[in-house]
Amino acid sequence: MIGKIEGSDTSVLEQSSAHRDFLKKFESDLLRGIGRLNILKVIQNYGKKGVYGYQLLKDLEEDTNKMLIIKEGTLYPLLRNLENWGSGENRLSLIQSYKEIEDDRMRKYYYLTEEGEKVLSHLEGFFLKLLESIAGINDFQIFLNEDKYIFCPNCKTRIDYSDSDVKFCEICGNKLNFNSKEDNK
Amino acid sequence: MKTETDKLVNNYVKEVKKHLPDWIKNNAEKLEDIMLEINSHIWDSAQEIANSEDPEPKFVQEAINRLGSPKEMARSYKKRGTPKYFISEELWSIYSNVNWIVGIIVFLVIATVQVVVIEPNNLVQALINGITLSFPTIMTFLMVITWIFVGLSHEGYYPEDLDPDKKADKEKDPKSKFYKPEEFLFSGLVGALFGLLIIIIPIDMINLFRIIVNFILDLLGRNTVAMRSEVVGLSVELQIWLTIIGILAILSGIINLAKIGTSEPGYQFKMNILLIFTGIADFVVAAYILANIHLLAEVIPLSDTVLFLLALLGVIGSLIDLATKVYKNTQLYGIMEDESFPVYS
Repeated sequence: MIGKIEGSDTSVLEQSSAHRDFLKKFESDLLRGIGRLNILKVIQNYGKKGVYGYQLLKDLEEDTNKMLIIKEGTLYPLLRNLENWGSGENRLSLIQSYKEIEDDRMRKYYYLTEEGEKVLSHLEGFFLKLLESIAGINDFQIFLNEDKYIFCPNCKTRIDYSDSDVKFCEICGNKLNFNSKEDNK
Repeated sequence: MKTETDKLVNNYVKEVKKHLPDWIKNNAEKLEDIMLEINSHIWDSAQEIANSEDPEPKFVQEAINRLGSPKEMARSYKKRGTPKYFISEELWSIYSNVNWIVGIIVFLVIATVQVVVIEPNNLVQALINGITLSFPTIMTFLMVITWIFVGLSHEGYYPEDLDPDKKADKEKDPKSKFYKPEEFLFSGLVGALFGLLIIIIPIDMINLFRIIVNFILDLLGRNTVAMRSEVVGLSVELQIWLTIIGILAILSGIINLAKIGTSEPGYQFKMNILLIFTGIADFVVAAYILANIHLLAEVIPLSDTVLFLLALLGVIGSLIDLATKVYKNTQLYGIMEDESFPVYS
């Protein structure tokens, strides 16, 4: 899915194809999920108006300092997969699309569904908490902006702190305590 | 210039379409969506590369190159489903059910022949024979079914893509009139099973056929003593002709199963040509039997007049079948000629 990671020079390992293959596969596995998460995030940034495919690619490239570049040919099947994930009863629709003519050209716009918003909150929370948990081992720091967000203590879904109407986590149903941030850590 | 760039884009889109899997090609709405997203992406990309509203052909070509080859592009749409061995998890339960159903039908047919015809007084032996004889046939079907489902998984099919009730889509697409996977699967399996059985156990099949005819004649009150007798051996000539009929049935079955592969009109046309050849062979066999009525008398000992009428019906039936195949393929050829692709601007 990921085209290339700029700044990562694997040529020094070219003497060993095993190293090269391992790194290629490892990076691809690692970035597959992160890529999807960030695609959903970019789509969310455009609200209900949504974003068309090419703009989505450009945003992703620019907002990630050209670290996360999706191969152009794989974007649309990926969007299709997010629009219609699974089959039969196990179906999810995280994004939806509509067609609109702009500048004399028909384009397809993608926007996040209500279900997609919830799933994204969970994925973001889970990913950030995961980064926080591995920060010590890997010697880096992470700022979770806990003045603005709380994280479900059970499933790690990220919830906007200002939205104090929310009493339960929408993903796992766990009761949230907005008065004590420590309880929700 | 506009015409040249349009041509570049439309050629690319046309090539992608050619390589898309059938579950997309058979869904007019999905297909149109994909054509639109690829088309608008190329124009967005080309305009940015050229920094112009009206990019030159070389910039359009660069935008196309960035998307990858049409085959690669189409292949990425096939990546659907959760891998489980070589058959996707989504198709696994259908695959398993089809195997069970086919296995049970094959066993029941062979076991019934054994119980009713071969060993009517020894149920245990009949069942042992049924199991022993049905095993190789079931294995053959298992291999064919596995091959079909591995292909479907590779093409990214989901169970709903095999749903024959997508009437709205079918009405939109005239090609779907000629592509009925469920019909091909049924005809293929029945044809191959019939062919195998008539080659492996010809005497049992004739005796089973006699039991059915006896039942009908009993109902009509027209049964004869000769008809009630059991066949114990066959003439060499009849054995040869039964083997030929069996081989033709297996060939037709395999061609029908192969037709499931893709709805591409060109491919269906070629497969239908092969079916026309088997149809011609069927007609020749039917005509030979009409001219050599004693062969039919070995199978069902009825009066010469009745046998002649039955053989004549066989000839007429095979002719009608052949004519229908030729007519349908002519229509399919017309669709191949008319096939056009959407043009976006």
